[in-house]
Amino acid sequence: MSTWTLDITGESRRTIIGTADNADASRAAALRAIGTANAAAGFQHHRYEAAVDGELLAIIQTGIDEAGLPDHRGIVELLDRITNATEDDPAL
Amino acid sequence: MSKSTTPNLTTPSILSATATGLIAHTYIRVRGEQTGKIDVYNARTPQARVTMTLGTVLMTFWSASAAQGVLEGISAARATLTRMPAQVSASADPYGQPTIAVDWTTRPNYAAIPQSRIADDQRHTLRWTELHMGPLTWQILDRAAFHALTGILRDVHATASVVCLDGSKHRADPTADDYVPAQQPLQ
Repeated sequence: MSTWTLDITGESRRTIIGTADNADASRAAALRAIGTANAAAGFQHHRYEAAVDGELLAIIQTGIDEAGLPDHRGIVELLDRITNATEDDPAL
Repeated sequence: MSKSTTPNLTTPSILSATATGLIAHTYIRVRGEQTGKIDVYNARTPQARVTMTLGTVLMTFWSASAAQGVLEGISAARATLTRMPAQVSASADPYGQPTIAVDWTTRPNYAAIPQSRIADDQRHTLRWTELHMGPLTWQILDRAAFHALTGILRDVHATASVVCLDGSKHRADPTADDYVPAQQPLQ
């Protein structure tokens, strides 16, 4: 059993807590929850802080688009990139 | 009566209007101490910009909002510092690094993601932080790089808040303890 949490800061602050079978499923669920909150963010520049089993998963901040509004589309692209990213080898 | 058509700020569409191609995404990997150079062009005009040269990376900030947003994004990696090594040894690269030039026009989206994997020798775990930010992903490999980057970008932001026309609205230092990330449209 794995637990994930998502803190969403905008005009107010709220926390979503969920569980999944394992850490990978928790990670996917947390990222999906960010996508859902982003779709409903309206004019707010949401900040998302997600954790899985107490470990930080991601801090995500909404930027500004060309019209000066919250760049929700950019967040969707960011989430796609994070979801699809493989763990890159930093070749130390 | 004539009317000026000069835009108040440079936007991505203005920059890309005549481009025949765009690099959609690239990576910048930083480790160890960094030294940067900051230049200013056309201060206090709609075309004001601040450039930062960091090794083979050239960044141009067209607004204080952009400089503040990029610094804020880098600062977000502070939450991952404890798991990052103090300094990793630099490996010699006889071919050097590719040159990258990035223009920042406004505050970017960003995501700070701690990463790790088992090293090839199976004897230790590599830990670093990835910062997805607009067309870039920063790979910050150690705390020395983080502190150096933050210091340079803090100077860039302080400079941009003076020379760019939107500077008065974006003076707040994202590295300050009492800084609150933007939650409402600012422009």
